[in-house]
Amino acid sequence: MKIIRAADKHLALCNACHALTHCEADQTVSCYRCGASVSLRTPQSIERTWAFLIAAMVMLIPANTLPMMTILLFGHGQPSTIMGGVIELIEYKMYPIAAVIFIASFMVPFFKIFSLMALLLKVQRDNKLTEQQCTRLYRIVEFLGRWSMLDVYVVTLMIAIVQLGSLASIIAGTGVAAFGCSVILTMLASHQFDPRLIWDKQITSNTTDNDTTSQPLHRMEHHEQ
Amino acid sequence: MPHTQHLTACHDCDLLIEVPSVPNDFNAVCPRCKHVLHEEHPNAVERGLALSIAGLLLFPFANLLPIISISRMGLNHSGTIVEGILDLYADGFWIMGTLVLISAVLAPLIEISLIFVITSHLWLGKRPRFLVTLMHALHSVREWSMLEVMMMGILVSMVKLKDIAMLELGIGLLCFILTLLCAVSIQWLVNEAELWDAITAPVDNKNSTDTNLQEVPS
Repeated sequence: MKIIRAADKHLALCNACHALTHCEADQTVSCYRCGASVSLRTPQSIERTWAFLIAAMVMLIPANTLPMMTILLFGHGQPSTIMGGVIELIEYKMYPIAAVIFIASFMVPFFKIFSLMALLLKVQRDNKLTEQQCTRLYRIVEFLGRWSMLDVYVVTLMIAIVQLGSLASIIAGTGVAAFGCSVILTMLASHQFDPRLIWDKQITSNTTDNDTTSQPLHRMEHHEQ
Repeated sequence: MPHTQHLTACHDCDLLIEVPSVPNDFNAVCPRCKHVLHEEHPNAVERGLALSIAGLLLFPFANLLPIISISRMGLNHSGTIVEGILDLYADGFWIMGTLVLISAVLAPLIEISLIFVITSHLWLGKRPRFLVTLMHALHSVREWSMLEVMMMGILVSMVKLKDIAMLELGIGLLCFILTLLCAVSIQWLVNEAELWDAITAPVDNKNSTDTNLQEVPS
């Protein structure tokens, strides 16, 4: 089965409208259908992904060490960090919610960062992951990106709802700002990463300019939804 | 609207693929990396219009009516999403406040409004040029709309508040859940490809196929 990439034919896919436009390597042109800027690969994908990733890793340090929020009951309360909140929930025997917070606010950010590093290293140096596994990993990272905002939303709602004067009140901590920034930075990092780079390393067959594009190149599979 | 056969490249692995006509409720996937290339849903424009109208009507109530009320020893207080954002600003967390404002309020609102404007024009048969700009805006705003995460955030907050005080669920929560259902349904049933086809379809020729790319202007 001949594998032909759009890049081999100097065709670039428009991210917005999915039309194919003629484009040379390292060139940025306008999509013929919708005018969006189009290039064969996301420009400077690897550099920018690393930049966002390193910034996100740096932001995770204050996010986990500074408190997310302080719950004051009758004027007393301890500021709690992410892990502190999880431990408290475990002590209260609320295991499902402790698991949710632990996964969404602790495991997911680290998972995303390590996954993106694995993908970048796959593109730059090659490693033992197959292209299929890398693509699946990329899709998981894209999907999980937004779910780490959970903790930020919890803090937002808590400070809105719990306003009972000195009886009960909540103060947001700086940790939540650092955490939110870290989530956004990982989202930007995965957005900048071009998944096609993973497959570029595969051996692709050469094409000649005489190939016509009106022949079906691959048989499609129909999948019932 | 049945999708015509056309040439495309896989977004995830750049494979050049000829996509055949996809029947309703089927989708087309890349043979190499299984990325979903196209999903065919019937009546995307009509459904998008109906869902976006419903979403826009519910939206202010979801954000401005109380979601949860707590009461303890006779004192009670209720909170809304917008109040939470304003409190973040008041406490000096203006970056966080803006982030939550964008991801939980503005982005969903803009997304639903854009779907409404686009589908209403398409439904009326008009295709003015600014629809292209609106489609670009829709594409950009979609990834920042995080209503499902807010729903989870509400659930987690409810559990955390359980032992501080007695909870009462507000009408805003019902409106929020309905808005969320509208937004999620729009994302599932209305994909951008179908809207692009409706916008750029040639008026007379219903059988256009885009197979000869040597003539594409660069």
